[in-house]
Amino acid sequence: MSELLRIERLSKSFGHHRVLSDFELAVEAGRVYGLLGLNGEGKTTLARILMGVIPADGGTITFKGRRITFADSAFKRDFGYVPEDPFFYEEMTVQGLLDFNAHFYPRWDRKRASSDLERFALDPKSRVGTLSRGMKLKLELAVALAAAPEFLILDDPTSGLDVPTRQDFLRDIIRELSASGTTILFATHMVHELERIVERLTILHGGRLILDEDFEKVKAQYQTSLEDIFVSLVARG
Amino acid sequence: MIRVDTTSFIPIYEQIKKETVRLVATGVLKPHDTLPSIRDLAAELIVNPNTVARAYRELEQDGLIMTQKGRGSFVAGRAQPDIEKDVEAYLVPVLDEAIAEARKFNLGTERIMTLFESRLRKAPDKSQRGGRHE
Repeated sequence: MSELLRIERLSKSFGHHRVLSDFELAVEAGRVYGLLGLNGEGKTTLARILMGVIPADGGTITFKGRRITFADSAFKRDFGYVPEDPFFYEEMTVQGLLDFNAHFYPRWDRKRASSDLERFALDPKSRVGTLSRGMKLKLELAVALAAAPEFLILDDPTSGLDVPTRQDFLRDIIRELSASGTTILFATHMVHELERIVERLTILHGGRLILDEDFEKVKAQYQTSLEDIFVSLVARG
Repeated sequence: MIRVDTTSFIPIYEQIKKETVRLVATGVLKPHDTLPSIRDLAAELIVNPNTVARAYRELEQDGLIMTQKGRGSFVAGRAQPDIEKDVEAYLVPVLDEAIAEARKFNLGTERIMTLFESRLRKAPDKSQRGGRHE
């Protein structure tokens, strides 16, 4: 298994609030990583730093052996991102949004984008502003996947959605895994979703990882559900 | 057909294996029947495809299924006694756990046997063989 991404001694503070503190993680290609953490504990900050939206205060990120910095933009073409609160140009049409994004990604797959729209029952001519929250998520996913990312970051994308929509979303992630073996970092506090697909479990607490282990080993060790494991580890911290 | 409990601490791939053995043992899946593709089963169960892949790999190692490139996976044409060995392998931990529970209440072997037999006789026998003693 090759190492896709290496995060070393990553730190980030907002004023006096230390959100990430010597955060370290090595990501192997083709695996699904779960990043569990309570709300407000740094998952989104980490995602934004990885996406180059905000700079870290310290530490290094290495992608496929190359150090990447905040000023770098080339790596962004290989990263996909589905955030919790996607920002859309509400007046754009669905197709317009796809076409807009296509420009930024050299591996953009038009066919895939079209078939995803069809599968998600998204009307290309509808305006983004008229879409429900669940439809917006599906659109966000379609955009992320059409770009054929090597590394896909999901930052609590399913919170607030109803169960069938969450299941649809997970199914699409699973189809993506089957087809392309994309490396995924699934940051969330929704343990039930994670439990189904995660291979490597990490728990973020107090600004750093308090757990970084194969999920199967964790389950065998704790002999209980992921929810109980998470609560017990975080309560102690 | 197959169901898994993702909150259980029994690994999902183990559950898939067990369920497949059960379907074969009960004749729901017959020799040479095709199995869902890894991709389809993963989507249906909403689990990681690697988990399904691992279950299929181990079932193939155990000789219960066969996979052919381009043609998918299907139930191997195995003899019934072989399947029964797999069934027993899955039942042993279940029985061990029941025995351990009984022992916690300090029940002796004779008592456990009597209790087990009386429950067994009460339970309906859905198998195709061995119904004579009911």
